[in-house]
Amino acid sequence: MYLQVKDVKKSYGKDTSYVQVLKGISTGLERGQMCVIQGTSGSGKSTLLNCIGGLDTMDSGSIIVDGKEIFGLKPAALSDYRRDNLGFIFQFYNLVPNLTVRENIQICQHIAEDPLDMDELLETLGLTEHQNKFPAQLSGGQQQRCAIARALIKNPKLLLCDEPTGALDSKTSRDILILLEAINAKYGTTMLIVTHNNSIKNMVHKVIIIKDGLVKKEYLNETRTPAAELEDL
Amino acid sequence: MNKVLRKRLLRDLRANIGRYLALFLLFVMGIFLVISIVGSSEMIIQGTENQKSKNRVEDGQFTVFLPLCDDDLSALTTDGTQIEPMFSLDLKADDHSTLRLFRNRNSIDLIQLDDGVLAAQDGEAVIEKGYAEAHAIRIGSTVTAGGISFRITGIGSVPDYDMCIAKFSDTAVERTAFGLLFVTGPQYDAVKEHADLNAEEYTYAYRLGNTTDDALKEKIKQIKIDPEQIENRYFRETIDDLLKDRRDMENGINDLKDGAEDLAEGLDELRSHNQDLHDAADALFAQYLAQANQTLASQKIVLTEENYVDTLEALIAATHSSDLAALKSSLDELAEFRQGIYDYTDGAASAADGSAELADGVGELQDNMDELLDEVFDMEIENLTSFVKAEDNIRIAAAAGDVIMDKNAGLVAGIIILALFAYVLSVFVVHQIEQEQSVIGALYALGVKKKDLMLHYITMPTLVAFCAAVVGAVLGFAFGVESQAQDSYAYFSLPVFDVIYPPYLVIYALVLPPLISAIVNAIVINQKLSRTALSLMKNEQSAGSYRQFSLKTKSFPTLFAIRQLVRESRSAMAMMAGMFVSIMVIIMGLDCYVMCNAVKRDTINDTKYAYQYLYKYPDKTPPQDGEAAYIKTLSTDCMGYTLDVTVIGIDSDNPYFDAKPEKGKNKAVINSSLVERFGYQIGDRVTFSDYAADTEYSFTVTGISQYSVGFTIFMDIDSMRELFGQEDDYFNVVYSDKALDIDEGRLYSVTTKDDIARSASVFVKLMFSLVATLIAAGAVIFCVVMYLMMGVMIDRAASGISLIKIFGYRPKEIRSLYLNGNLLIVAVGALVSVPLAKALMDAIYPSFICNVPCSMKLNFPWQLYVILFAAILLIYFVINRLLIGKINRISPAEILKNRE
Repeated sequence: MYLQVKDVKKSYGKDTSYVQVLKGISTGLERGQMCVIQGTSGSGKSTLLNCIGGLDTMDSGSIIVDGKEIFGLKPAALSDYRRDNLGFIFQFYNLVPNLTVRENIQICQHIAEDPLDMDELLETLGLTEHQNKFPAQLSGGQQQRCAIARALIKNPKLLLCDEPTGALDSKTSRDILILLEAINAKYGTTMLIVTHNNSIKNMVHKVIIIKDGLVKKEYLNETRTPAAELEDL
Repeated sequence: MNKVLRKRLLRDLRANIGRYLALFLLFVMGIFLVISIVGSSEMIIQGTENQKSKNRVEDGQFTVFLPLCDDDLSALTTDGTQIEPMFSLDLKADDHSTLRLFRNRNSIDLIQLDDGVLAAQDGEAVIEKGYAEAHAIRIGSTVTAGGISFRITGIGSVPDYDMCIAKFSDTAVERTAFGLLFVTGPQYDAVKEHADLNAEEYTYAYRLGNTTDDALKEKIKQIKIDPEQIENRYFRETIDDLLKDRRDMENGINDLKDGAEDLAEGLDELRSHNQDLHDAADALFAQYLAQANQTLASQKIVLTEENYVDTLEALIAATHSSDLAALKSSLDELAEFRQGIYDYTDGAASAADGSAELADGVGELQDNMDELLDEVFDMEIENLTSFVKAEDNIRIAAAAGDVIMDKNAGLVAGIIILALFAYVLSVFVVHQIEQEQSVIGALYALGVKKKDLMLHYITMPTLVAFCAAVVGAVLGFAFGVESQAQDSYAYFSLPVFDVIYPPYLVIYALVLPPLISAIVNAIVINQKLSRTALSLMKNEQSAGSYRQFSLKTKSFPTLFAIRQLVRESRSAMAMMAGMFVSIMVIIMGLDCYVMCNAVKRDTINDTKYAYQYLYKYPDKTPPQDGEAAYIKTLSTDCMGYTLDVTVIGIDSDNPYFDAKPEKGKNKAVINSSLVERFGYQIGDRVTFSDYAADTEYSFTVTGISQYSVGFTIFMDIDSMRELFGQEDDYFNVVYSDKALDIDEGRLYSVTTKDDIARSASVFVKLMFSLVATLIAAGAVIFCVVMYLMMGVMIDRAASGISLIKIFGYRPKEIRSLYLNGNLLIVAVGALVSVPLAKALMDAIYPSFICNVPCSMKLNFPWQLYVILFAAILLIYFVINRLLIGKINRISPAEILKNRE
């Protein structure tokens, strides 16, 4: 299993403000799989994503990515873990506003040991003509495509997507999902997508539903629907 | 809503306490410095004015050859003018310093005591405070001067020696070398009895009644004295020399008259004996005739005076007697002799009459000649030797004049610094607004007006500025003013002034900081709050938010650093401005240090002679081993101040000055100080004034001498004598490389190279505290502004830093992207700011020393630039190091908060 999550617990605060967000989550993901984590607000799905991404520490449990345990890693090691393994896509793109599309992508290209070809990626993502534009000059979809390109340029083994279509309209959302699907197919990138959108689960290999800090349900999607055919996005 | 917003203020303050505290301290320091500099200047200016009024400062003073008689004084004071003698004797103390002895003052230039009481009896004295301080003299101490001991009963100052210098031409106060003593009248007279009378100066101070300075001066000039009344033997020598021709002519006429009179008397005496001669000649003839009649008695012939010729000729013809022929011959000779006597006495009588007329004529000649000589050689001279109005007297109100520029510079610098600080503050506020723009958009949507938000965001910086202003003003008035004034107290002879609170300064201190802060922030914030509610809520970055330009560099870190720099241009500008202002302040201090050291060094180096003897009563020939020169003081105007320009007439082979002036009354070599201050060049026409004679002298600059002592021009001595109407052999100063044996009474002063070196060193000591303060203040501003601005750059880049941390950037790589660009700002900023600040400061520096006639070498050695640059980089690296912690504290999860 490429990603193994075992009995992960995570809490915040003390005494009266103590909240246990993750109460012992265990799950896993195979290499090259696309996976959706669903759940209501406060269920712990983003916290789980952050723990997997090494952005947040867990109280206990184990997360093994590609055979490497990340629990207990020091910040520098976590940094290297993210650098070598992960790509991130955020709901609000988080592009650096004073950098062009190409330069935003260069942020990750710069630290990648074996980056993808920039021009090919730009072409794949339909950004060639926009590569010298600044984020403020782009539509939301273009910005998210830029963010995806930035995440992909270093050819990550695991792509973590936090509400990647949350800020986009239906059509643009579909375009982005088609793109993610194509990338998964082309590069074999393992993807973990946190979303509220109920339709997206139909296009991925695996679905994990979290409620109150626990995995309520997880299943493999035997009948995947191509992103282009998804409804109610 | 406003109430709700106000609640946020305290939370905002707590959240950013470190930042606000730093800005608060910056404002406090700025206001403290302004209050200290301007407040102390005002204290001295107004204190001096009060002192002038309280202690009845003179309107002017004049010096005379001989004390004025009561009639003269009455004539001068009929219009209500007050005149008080300020006679003085210069006494040598045991340490060879000079103490100028005065009587206690009665109505003008009164003594202001800091401590003790006035001298009331013999043996007591009040001493000038600067000298007392320099010699650790206290009340009850004994001071020996002129061989007489004085017990000190008081320590104080007088308004006519605010700048306590011995001569008007002295450029610097030397407390260790010169001071004042005030004693009772009888004590003064007693000292005078023991002292060399030649040393007494007859100076009067006046306070004008219903007249003007010029009118009074004209009156005094009408007072003539007979030089014969002057007892000073050197003065008499001078006068005698001047009147030698008259005396020669007078003596000649007198001799002529005496001779004529003697002649008349002699001839008259001769004439008085004419009758005796007549009688004797008659008797002789009669006697001889009687003897002849006795011989001829036998022939019954009687010879008479009338018949002897005919009778004897008849007899001789008849007798052919040789005896009778001999007799007749004898009688003829006697008759002829008698006639000769008659002729002689007639001549003597005529000569006597003539000589009497000659004597009368010579007497008339003498009378006419006296009138002629009185016309040609005025035997009476003006008693007035100098007349100095208070406004032209550099000893009076010198401290106030000295600090006027400080005051103006302080006020202007204050505004610049406050504007800078306000801008720095605005950078934080803008950052805060950018962070909160979605909240602001929501508030707009809820109906909150822009002006409410403007008020909200301006409130905190304004409050910070106001609170800092209050604290800075309180500290400034409580500590800074007195502390800053110490420089003036240490140099000038001033009473201890009370701290004053000028309303304009209080308003400046309390109103200007919050006002500038509010204005600067309002301008900056207004733009930020002018967006629509939706735009703000969406946290939109408009296409125009960042300067869009292409970069060709292939190095991503370089590219990123440039983009970051441009993004943070506001902070970078604030940092550059802070760097520029602080470097200006530091360079002001360094300029001051460099200049004072250069004055000291060059003055010592350029003074080639070991002794300078300034003559009060010049001799006819210079002493052996002495190099004679002619020295005269003219004046020039420098930004409203009248400064002395020394004209030195030298021979072409004078070994003590590196100047070869050409012959010519209007040609001069100027010294480097004049070039540095006024930019004169060879070929320029320069004009200097002799205010006493109301005359201007123009010279063509024929050369520049690397002589840095004061403002000096060199002339050919013969040309100078001709220009100023002196004799061909006139000189009034002698330079020598060894001590010369010259009568002290003939001299005005003796200046040794050591004196000059000591005097030149005064500024270095005096300015040290100012230099240290400026450099420290500049460094603090530099450090704080740089720290704050680099800090805010990191704050603004927090999400970016968080983002790249998520991507797996290592700390070193993050620093290279976000901090190393600042190295470029700092390095380029230093490379630009240092020379620019230096050029600007050098341009305005003359205004800081416009009242001091000295050289102005402000050139930094290249090592100083290197040190300055290295220090800037060092500070940068230290601050950089401090900020690494701030970067490290930014969590990768920071970016995840941006969820709207």
